[in-house]
Amino acid sequence: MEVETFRQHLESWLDDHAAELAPAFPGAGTLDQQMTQLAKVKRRLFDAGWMQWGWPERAGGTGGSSLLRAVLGEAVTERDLVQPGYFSMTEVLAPTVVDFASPELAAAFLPRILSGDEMWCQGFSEPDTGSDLSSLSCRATPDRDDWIVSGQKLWTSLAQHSRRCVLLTRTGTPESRHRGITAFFVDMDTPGITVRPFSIISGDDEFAEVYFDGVRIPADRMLGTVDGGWNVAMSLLPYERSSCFWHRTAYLRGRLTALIEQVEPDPHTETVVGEAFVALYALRARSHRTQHRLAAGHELGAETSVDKVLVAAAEQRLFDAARELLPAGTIELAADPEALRWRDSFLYSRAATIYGGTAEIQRNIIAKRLLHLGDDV
Amino acid sequence: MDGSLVDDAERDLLIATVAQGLASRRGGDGYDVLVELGWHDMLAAEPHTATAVVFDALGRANVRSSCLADVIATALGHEPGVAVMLPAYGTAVAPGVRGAAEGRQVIVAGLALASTVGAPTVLVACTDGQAVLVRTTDLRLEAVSGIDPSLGLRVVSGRAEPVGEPAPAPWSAAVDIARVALGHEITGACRTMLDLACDHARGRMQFGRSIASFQAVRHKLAEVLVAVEAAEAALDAAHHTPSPVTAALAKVLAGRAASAAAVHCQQVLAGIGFTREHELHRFLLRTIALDGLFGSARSLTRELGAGLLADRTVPRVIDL
Repeated sequence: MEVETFRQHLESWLDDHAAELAPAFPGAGTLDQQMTQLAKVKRRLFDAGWMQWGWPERAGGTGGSSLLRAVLGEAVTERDLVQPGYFSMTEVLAPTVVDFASPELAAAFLPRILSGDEMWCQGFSEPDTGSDLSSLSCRATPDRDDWIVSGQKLWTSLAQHSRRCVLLTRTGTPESRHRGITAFFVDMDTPGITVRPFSIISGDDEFAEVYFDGVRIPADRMLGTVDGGWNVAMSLLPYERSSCFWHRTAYLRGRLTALIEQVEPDPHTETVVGEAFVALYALRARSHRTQHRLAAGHELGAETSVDKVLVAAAEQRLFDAARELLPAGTIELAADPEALRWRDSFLYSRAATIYGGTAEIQRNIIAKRLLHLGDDV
Repeated sequence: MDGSLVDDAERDLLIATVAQGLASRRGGDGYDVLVELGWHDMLAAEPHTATAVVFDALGRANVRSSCLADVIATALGHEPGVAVMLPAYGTAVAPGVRGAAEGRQVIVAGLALASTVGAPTVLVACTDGQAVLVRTTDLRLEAVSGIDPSLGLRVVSGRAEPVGEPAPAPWSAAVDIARVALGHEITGACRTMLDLACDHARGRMQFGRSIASFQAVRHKLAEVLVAVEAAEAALDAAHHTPSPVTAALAKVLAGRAASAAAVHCQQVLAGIGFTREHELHRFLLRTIALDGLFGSARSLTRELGAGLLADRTVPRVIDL
């Protein structure tokens, strides 16, 4: 399907179903309310056939360009139907399952995340493993046809709401680094998994610690090959910086619109708004290129670190502008739903230079892989 | 994506040919070389590709030319090769004023390229949407030494009698294409600044190791690449979705890339980057001078912000 045709049909479908898709709560809502809303919207989109576009037919999709996924995420974000970060988790995790799971597993599970029946989470980071992902130590040991996993994951977003986890484990020696990692697709209700949610700075229980204590995973749940997990992880990270970021431009545009609706123009305000717009557009122009490269079948790699640096700059610039320009006390004192949304968004924007590889790690990747400056000290 | 008839291999060949042609003209004028290579035909047949490739190459090589006059003339409905008045520095206001009080005369105030000296006539776009040719000898042309004398700009002023009849001319279209062309030239210069700084960082040894191995150095250079890539993406967008907003944004992001390149590349090059012994200065000074043509990054950012505040909406600008 042509992108423009898709957009037009989608927009008119969203118009026709606006009432049933709308959130039942004011402002951003609580995390539980957002989860319910997300599941509802995805279910409606799935039943009408929208969610399946851009995903391969062999895994239960309808086929078509990956651009359609970017357009869908943009449209539902623009209409404030979903929190874009949560909607986009499909874009982070599902391509990996499609690419690395067995065809049967992919076909069985992709429809479940697309339809909103399930959330999935990403079990990568650990207490001692943040930026240095290849140092992870959560261990998987073979046991006849199964694998037994013991260890701990940290910063696992929405683990308590997730039915499955894309999990990285250590299968080689501790010194094997990136050569001794294996990925699994794990059911979160498997005995031995304990999830302890904890609050992020805005107060939502978005993060969790996940403990694995002798968790038995069937071998057919392996993603990729034994000791091939680094490949899985490295193919996932660029996806985290592709369609998701296009969705994010729609979210940031919506917030910038909300901001300029309530500030009065003067020379300083014009400059601050202009700078936020320029930073947002830099991301959008770059992401436009990335969406087209992805759709043309290019393998995404280190160059998506540029997109990540730009998304962080755009998001933080925008919410710094909001804090500066909104009526005094909006972010700091007020308690109405709109003000709470500004406060949460402002606080959340601080994570943009941390999640998905810190600002420093992105610059290290750019220096080494794109500028060919060799290894660092 | 931009509907170009030129494929990647042809474009690469063109880039290499133009770069080779301009290599010997560093610090000077390369217009004759470009004309020889078929610049006028390219501009007519493939305006986007021609503008992108040639201006990027001019920036990378630090070569001045009259190509900016050509893209403006073409946008105003004239043949390339004619001399063209540019707006006053820091603005995008049409450089001519025609008024009843002046009779047929045109009041001219703005800038011109070096090639205007010696041209019999110069094309002046006027604030009333008309463009006229005037005799160059009727005008005062003063050489600008300024921060980048090798750019060869002239400050032009005077009153002149039109040669022939005025004709309607879409100045705003000329502004857009000029901004995009300048954006390419600035971004090209940034690429060279970044290359120079990366080469220096790899080769310069201190504390027994290459300074490229220090994160403080690497991160500065990464910052420049991000800014340059953003500008190049915006320039792409200005071609596939032409509009006053995409053109202004492309010029702004090019100017921002130039600021990032100036600050970080000069810092990485340190002492030698502060001298005229090293080539960096040519590119750094050129980008500073070009930033003010057709509106600077700073002034256009504010104008864009004012536009959003007036409309109370933020456009999507580009779509997939």
